[in-house]
Amino acid sequence: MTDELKRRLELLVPGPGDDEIEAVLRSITRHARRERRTLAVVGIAAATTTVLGAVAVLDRGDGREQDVATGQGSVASEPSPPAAECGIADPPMSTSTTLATPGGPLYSAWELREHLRSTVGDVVGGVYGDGTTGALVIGVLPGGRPAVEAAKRDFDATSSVPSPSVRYVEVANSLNRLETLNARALRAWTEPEEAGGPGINSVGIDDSSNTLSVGLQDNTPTNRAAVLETICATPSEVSFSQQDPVSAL
Amino acid sequence: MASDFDRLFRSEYSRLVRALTLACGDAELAADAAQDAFLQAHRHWRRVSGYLDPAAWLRRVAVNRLANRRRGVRRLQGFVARTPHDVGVAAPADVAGSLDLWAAVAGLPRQQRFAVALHYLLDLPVSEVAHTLGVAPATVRSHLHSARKVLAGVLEDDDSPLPRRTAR
Repeated sequence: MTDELKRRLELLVPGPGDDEIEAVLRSITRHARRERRTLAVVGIAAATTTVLGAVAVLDRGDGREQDVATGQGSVASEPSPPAAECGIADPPMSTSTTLATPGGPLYSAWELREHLRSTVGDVVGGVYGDGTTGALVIGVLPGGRPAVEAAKRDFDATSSVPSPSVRYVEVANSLNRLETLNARALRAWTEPEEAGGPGINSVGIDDSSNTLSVGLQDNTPTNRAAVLETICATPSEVSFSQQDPVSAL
Repeated sequence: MASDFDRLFRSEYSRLVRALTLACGDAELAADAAQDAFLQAHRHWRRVSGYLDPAAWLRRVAVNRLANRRRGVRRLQGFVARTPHDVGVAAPADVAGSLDLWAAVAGLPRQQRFAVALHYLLDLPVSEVAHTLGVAPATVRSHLHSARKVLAGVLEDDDSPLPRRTAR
């Protein structure tokens, strides 16, 4: 039975084709090379704020690039000055951040979130469901609602499924900003085999609170301050909680 | 350096994506998690390449990344529904029986799905599955036993051979 199950499972889930594998490999090595260049430039520029400013402009200009693997757009991280202050370079968010393409039998809030993050990530602060009313709640930054509404209309225009009712709430932190902080936290304490630091056991963006949610082994003022300092965040951008170690499951 | 990394990528990437896809039911999330893990490996290659088993490190990072992403996805579960076709499973016209198996796998508790994916698709021994998931080997054996009982029913109901599917 074991052999048959293995055979059937192998048939069930197709893997990426050779072309896709090669494209992803190129994408990874390209991003890594770009990151090394950025690190080098930031290192050289650290002595002079004038040059550091130029780095930030260059990085912002290169913020949206074509993804090799998917041929679709991907959104890079925010500009580098805070990262330079932190000593953490912000890499692209993902090597294959896929733009939303509506499909499937139900309205996909997750794909809408990805679409909004990819198109108006600086003014949208999160997408989540209201468990009581069933409404979709979209967090927007002050003044950003027209852009978010327009982006949502674009998304809905290509969706065969009608949108659920939507409620907009005003928030302070953009998804792009939270993604950047999330990436910094993961990069600062990324090694699952290694301990150390302030004892972070979980990190993730919490759309409903519009913060980066950080679970600490010991939720002490000292550890909270260490996290904020390391990822260059303000207290209003991060929520802390006591969190026991989380199994990968 | 690049050639060693390339070799590891070519030997492990596809298998890892497939296993993660089976575990999480979402090919895009699986690919993102696998790519994140390889990006980390490339970034720290000097150190990672010195590990006894760099592939084991990769798997653990990828599983952790997937778990992090899934925690975000779960908040939107009420609005998201994916079908086997959406996640890249063989088309129903080709392998009708595979849909039953997919549904059975999707119905397994998450811990069992991860155990099945790593054990059967990555050919990892129980001890390595346990290390990857951060649980005891006995726990993995229990998950596999429970999963096999469920999946055996599907295999018995549909014993027609499946056509081999070409890579997408």
